[in-house]
Amino acid sequence: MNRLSKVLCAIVCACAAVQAHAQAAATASGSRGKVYLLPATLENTQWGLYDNATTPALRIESGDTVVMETMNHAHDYWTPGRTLKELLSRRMDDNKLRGPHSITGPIYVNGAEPGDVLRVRINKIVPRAYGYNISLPGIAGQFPQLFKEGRLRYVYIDTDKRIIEYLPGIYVPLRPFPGLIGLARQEPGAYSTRPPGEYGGNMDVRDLVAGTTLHLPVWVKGGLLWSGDAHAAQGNGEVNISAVETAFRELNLTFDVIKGKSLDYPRAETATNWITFGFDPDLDKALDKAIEQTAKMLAESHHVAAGKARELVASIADCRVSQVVNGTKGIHCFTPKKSGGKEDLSRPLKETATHFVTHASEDTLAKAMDTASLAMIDHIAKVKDIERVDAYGLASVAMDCRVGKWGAGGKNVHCLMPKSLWNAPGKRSS
Amino acid sequence: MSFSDAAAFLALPLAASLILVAIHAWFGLQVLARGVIFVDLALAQVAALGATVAFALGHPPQSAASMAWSLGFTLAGALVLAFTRSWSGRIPQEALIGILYVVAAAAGFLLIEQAPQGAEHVKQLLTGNIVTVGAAELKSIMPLYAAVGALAWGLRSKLAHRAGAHWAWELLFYAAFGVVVTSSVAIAGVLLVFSFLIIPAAIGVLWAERPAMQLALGWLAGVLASIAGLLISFRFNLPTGATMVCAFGAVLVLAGIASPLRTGPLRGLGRAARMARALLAAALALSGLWLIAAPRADQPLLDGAEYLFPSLRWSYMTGAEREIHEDAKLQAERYRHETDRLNERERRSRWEDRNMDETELRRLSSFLKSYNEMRKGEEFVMREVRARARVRERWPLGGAMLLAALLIVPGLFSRLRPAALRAALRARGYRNPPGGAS
Repeated sequence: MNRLSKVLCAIVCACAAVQAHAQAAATASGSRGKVYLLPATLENTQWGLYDNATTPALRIESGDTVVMETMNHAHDYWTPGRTLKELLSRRMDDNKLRGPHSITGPIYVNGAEPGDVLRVRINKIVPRAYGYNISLPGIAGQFPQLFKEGRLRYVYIDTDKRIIEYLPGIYVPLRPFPGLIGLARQEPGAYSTRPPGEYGGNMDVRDLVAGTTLHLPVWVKGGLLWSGDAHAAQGNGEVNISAVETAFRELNLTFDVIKGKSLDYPRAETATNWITFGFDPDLDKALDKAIEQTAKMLAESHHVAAGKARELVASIADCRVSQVVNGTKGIHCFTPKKSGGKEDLSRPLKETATHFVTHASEDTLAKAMDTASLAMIDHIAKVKDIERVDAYGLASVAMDCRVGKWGAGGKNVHCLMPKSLWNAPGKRSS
Repeated sequence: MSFSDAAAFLALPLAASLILVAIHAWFGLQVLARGVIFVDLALAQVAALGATVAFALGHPPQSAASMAWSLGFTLAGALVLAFTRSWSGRIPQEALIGILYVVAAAAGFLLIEQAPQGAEHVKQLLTGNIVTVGAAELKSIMPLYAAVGALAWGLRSKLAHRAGAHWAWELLFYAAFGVVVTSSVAIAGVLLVFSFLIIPAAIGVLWAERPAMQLALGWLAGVLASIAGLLISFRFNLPTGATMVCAFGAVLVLAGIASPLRTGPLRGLGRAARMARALLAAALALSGLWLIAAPRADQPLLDGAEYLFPSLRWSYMTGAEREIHEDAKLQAERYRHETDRLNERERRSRWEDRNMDETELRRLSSFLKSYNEMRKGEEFVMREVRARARVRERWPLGGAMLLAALLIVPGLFSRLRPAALRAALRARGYRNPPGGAS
């Protein structure tokens, strides 16, 4: 394809949504439905607010595929060259409710009714080749009082080697996923994109990568799906409030309406695992909700009694701290699909051959998370001789905080940082 | 747009340029001879001050009243310059010209400050708008220039620069000059009129000894530069005045580079070629070393070469890098197109009297910024991919540039020719140097 035809192709792609509805581009290959393009344009995106009265950007049938594009935060103002001060001053208006996210949608799925489940398969994700991570100075994140100085770090995302050189000599693997993906809430009016909930939304679960299937309860007619908050890599916890934030050239999703299957909370599945979620402003309650959802899923899928299922959770579920920075915090748990199968349940107490490790045991999960993650930030800053605020950013994009034993003896959090981050591409061990 | 459309569009601006070149080249030679290079700028600024006074008094630009004010101020300026020539022994006249310029400019700014759309007026005075010149304007200046030209021809010996010339001839020269500058600044702006005046005359002086030949060469250079400037401005949709000034500058540079040809076609050509090779070799060597030392920094020579021949960069990029680079370029183009689309949408809403509500307008404005930012993001990707490839390939690439510099540096090969080498070895006492026949 010569250059002219490529430009024309891109322009056609952009113009496809000018009339606020995308055109059917081709019949699907590999799926039974049609394939639609949904570019991120003025007509197809919103900034920081959902409203279930928004005119759909696209109407599709169950079984169709949408190749959508997403923007970076604040209508994509966060591009290399902008200073921290400039970014903080960027406002659409004085609406305090408005979140930072630019979201593409909504997509209306014909036939989706309240009480149904919308199954969304994430087929493919292609990020843009640049992104950033930001530590907001004394404003947000897990430790706003400890990090009064901000830090904005732009990065080049090497989509060829699938690596991000976060700091000189520190390479974070590229693992893109939508930080925000969800359906409209039942309640009318505009609401912030910041908190996650039973509608999905800003879940920031780093395991929702390509190949994962999301099950979302439908609350309004048509479902109305939005997505945004593109992440190229994120740590469990997202402690400084940002991942490697980027935008997606392509977020390829296939939609199916599932009738007669009741669901009150989002759920996801991979080839080998179920993923359940818990969201609450209190991290301990978020864990309780995730455990409850896991038990419910076990009871349904493995046909065990509710009480027994809850007992099983502690022994077979692998729970991680999704994020602690969105106001409403999140926990997600993996449960193997096959009985007898186990996720990675290792919860080391000290450094291993492959990971730096910190551990904390406290009376609440929130305290344990604070202690373990801050210990990791300080440890990395010390042993790798990097600035503390940079260690904070690195923890936000690469640290893996796992929920350990919970019970009367207290709550445990184990934070792991892969040592492979310090290996140059090509020398990386499996 | 077809060739005939372009010709029709550019015919009047070209005619105006040719007329301006014809009269200004002669004045330029006189100005160079007097050594008062910036007299044009000073008189043009005084003329502009007159026009500004007229503007502040409510007269439209290019009206008769505006021209009268402008001419009055210019003649006053000419009077000042003619009388102050006798001070030259104590104060160089260039200093007085400079003072006249800055005072006129400052007074103009003071007036403009009070006038609505003052900034636009200043821009108009500086760069003019030769592309919109009409037939009526040409008809009005042609008799004037013809009269001044006839006067200059008839009194050429009196008006030419002479030591101890009577002040009355100086006053006549500056007054005629002022009249010409007043009308030409209104058409072409201060910058372009300065170029019409000085650059063709400078080229004439550079290439010829006799005044008539200097004038002829100045006219030729002015005509070529005017045609080139207008065509480039038209083809790339650039501001005409500024483009023409740059075209005049480029023609002067070319004339300077080719000036060794004056001494005889072959000998001059050889000298020019050697000089060009030496310059190119030095540029290549420096660029090669700079690339090796700081591959991520700006590389003016390599960047320029890649701008002209984009495929050069494929020589050091991998297939994947090339793909990322081209994709980013494509996306940047797409965002530019989106920006145009939104601008057009906003314009159309105004033309069709369908005012957008505040939210819609705010969203549109936000998106315009967004697309500009996204384009910058893609440019960042292109720069980063290129920088990474240059870091990786800096040794072979820089080495190749150094080698190329060695190959083209003048004289090096003649020293390395086998015969010369053998002679050098014999001179050092070797009887049978290797490869020698004798």
